[in-house]
Amino acid sequence: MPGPKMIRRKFLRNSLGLATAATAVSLSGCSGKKDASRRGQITFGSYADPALDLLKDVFLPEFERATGIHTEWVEADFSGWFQKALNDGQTKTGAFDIYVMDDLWVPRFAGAGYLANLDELGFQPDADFVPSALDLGYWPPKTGLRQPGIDAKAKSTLYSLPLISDCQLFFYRNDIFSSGSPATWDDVLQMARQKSDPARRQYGWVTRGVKGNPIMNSFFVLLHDFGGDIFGENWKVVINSPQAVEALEFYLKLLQYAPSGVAEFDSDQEGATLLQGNAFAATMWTGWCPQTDDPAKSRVVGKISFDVPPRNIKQVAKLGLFMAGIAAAAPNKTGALEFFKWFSNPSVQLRFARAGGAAFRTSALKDGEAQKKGRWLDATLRALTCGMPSPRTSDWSKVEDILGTQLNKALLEKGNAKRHLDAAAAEATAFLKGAGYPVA
Amino acid sequence: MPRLTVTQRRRLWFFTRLALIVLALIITLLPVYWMVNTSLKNQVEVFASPPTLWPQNLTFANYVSLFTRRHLGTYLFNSLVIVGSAVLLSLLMGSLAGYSLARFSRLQQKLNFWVLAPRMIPPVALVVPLFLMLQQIGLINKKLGLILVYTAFNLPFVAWMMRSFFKEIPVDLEEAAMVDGASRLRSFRDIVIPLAAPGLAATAIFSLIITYNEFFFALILTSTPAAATLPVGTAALIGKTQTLYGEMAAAGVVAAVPLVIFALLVQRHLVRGLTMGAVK
Amino acid sequence: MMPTDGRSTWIPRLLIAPTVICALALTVLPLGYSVLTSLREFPLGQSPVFVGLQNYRNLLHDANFHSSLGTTLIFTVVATAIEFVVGLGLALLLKEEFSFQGVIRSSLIVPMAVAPVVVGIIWRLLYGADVGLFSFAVQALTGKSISVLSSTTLALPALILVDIWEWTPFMFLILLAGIQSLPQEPFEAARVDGASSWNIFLHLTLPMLKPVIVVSLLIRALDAFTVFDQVFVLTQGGPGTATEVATLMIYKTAFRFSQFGYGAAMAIGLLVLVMSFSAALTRVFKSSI
Repeated sequence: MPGPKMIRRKFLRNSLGLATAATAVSLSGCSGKKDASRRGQITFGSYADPALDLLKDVFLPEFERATGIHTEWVEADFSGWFQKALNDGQTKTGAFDIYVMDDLWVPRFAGAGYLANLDELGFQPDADFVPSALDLGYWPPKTGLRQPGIDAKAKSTLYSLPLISDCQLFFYRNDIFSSGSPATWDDVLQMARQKSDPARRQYGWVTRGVKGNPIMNSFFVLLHDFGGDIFGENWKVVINSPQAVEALEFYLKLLQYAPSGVAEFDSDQEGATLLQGNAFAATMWTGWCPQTDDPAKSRVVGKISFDVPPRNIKQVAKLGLFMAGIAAAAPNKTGALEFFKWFSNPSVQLRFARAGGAAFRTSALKDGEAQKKGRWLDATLRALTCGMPSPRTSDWSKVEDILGTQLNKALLEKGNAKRHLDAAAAEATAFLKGAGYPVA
Repeated sequence: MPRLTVTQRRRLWFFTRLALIVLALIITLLPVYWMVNTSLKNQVEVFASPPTLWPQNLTFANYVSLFTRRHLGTYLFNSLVIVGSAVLLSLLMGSLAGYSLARFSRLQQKLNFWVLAPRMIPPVALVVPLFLMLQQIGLINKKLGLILVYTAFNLPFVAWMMRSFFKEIPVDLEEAAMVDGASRLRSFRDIVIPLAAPGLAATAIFSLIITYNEFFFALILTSTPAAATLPVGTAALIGKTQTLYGEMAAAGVVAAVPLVIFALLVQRHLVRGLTMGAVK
Repeated sequence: MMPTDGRSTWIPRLLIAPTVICALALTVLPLGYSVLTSLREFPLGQSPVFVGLQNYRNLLHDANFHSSLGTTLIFTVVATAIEFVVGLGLALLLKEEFSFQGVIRSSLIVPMAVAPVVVGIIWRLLYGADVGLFSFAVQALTGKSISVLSSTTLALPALILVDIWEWTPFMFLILLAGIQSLPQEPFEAARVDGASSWNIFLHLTLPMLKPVIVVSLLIRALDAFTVFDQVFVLTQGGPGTATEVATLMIYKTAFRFSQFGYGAAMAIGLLVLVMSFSAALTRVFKSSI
């Protein structure tokens, strides 16, 4: 082993060399590429998701060729992107021209002024946009309750457009439900009773049970189908109404036929169970649809069909659209607007649907050729029509967390539906009161 | 029980030691193996039940996708440059500071808290002021910006750790050398550093790993692949409705390789200092 | 040892200065900013409102936050203690020369080198009920099928196990380096005097290692208090609130619910807990430094 002097000398030499090289490299990256030359470029900031692949890989290059505007797509993980976008909006940095958002974020971003006013910029939507999808981009919301602090008479302004019409569809095994999609939830329960076989990993139902957003989204459809709701008149919390309790009890009955670990399942596990051929049905996001027929991802190629979730008293689907908005501090608002105009063009939307994408124009989703290629587009359109989003308030995340925790507890205890819903209602009411809502 | 002979005892100890080491290796490497295993599977096999110990349909698609679609090559380069520079700088300055703290230790009691405090505060509390400061000097989304931030974070930590290693070395050794006519600097270089080499190696490894895997500041202080690091790129595989398990495992493998190579190179310093006899 | 001549006091000060400046800047700045933030609230679309100590008053009544502090404390203490014992054991096992030592030591360090978020993903896969190697092994050995991550009693231990797997290498590394840095004569003298290995360990090795032990315990405990990635990926705080650690609550409060002020107050609350813990730990070992 070389003596200490040698080691030290070598170490110093190497480190000096490395430090110099590193400084040189990093300084070379210091050229002010950021500022003025943004005229011909727009930067998208987004979270990652397979549903965006088609847009990224095929349609953005097409846009570049058609308009000459260069696009840069920056991606981060879902919560990471949320923080980055919030930071960008708050500090008015303008690192991004277009924010890709979850529709849940629109109240937050629009309400805090991080998005550009699309009406003012001159964007004109038309009647061919799926109404429920377009409505999500307006703030304050066109219909429904307005949270305290928002002027009840303020005009609804367009702040963001739909990008991907993501919603929850009912995925079912067409070889098990051989006479077609089950008409009611009781039919689903019936089939589960008849054909489940946990020992051979055949489960009648699978869903997301993780507390908070996953389980709340999973329970949402049943809640409404049984006639329940989260908020009643004037933001009164009605999650513990008799209909809601009935819905939860039914939900727990269904879950008896789900895998044992369902309390910690998120979309990955839910999707995996269905695609491995271990579940008969599930309500999942449309981003999963193309994967059912991909042999690298699914063992049940061709055996999954799609429909709007079954009915009970009502029939609803849950909306979870990807929205796009122009940053208030965007350096290239004109370019961003160009993109919106181009992407919402009927012919582009038609091509998008025909390539399998979840378009947001009714004409595109109805197109025969598109529906042949994407077996789920018909169901998507119908789901969008009867679809409901999460409550439109920036305080929804906290309420969702409260409800989701109690739902998860009910799942773990496999019962006590009324007790947990009452606890949820009490905690949510206390929170809302503290946040200035006119609840009793 | 009859008393064992020396040879028998030694052999028993050898085999016990061997068994424990093998056990430790198995426990340590099993999840790592699973990571490699998963990285070579396609999605349908990742979630197969029962799980497969080796891919039935071995595929490199995950690795290909990482480098062609997810910019992982760029992220890797950025990480190596940024983290390498920051750790180097902080090791150089921090060791000198640590030595001063160990030998001229008047303010050390109070310093304990101040050095550890940055680790006690969640990064979210610091990120906005840091962001605004860096924005003022135009270092947002630049490699140099992150280098400065990481150096600043590592410096107190390295100084503090090296101080404890330096403190283990008795002062008499240096004093003996200085009595013999060597300057303080020379005794530092020829006696203290070699004896503290294990500590330096350990600190270097640890500092490198922590900085290399740092996520939050890299996320907020960079915005594009121009300056973003591996952790940001890896996390981006967590989507809104789905996480790409295969690609994440592959990203984990790719990211771990430089660290393992570094550890292999540096760990040979984790040996007892040899110059004790020379001083005498 | 104090410098005897006047001129050599400024060199050490110069060497220490950058470190002190960084330490102060990285402490005072975020602390100040956090305290400021915790004294306000941030209603949507309006400028921040000064609310004084209201957030702290709410914090005192927030049972969820208190229980999350408790969960964090349990996690930290159990994980750090086990990591220390196992790490020390490994360091003692591997301090002598033996064949392949380079490869073996580097292999033992690998868990620490894998990105935390990937560690979470892989362990989620391993723990998964139908797809996990861990679950299958348990089923093969005991015949019972368990789903560790959806069990309110097993979820926290499962997380602690992941932490132990990931961070014992840190303890191992530091303690090994510490042991290797110890001067040889005391040990040689003790052996000549006929002391047993156990006595040497207890009365010689351990005391001499104290500075390094304190450093390693403090750093590991601090990091365990602020654990986030694994919990986020593996359980999101569930099932129920079994693994709801303080950092998760702070993250959700500040970012998901956009209650920046309240979240900052929570962060200060956690900081108080962490500081008390470190102070207590340092005091226990005070004599050594």
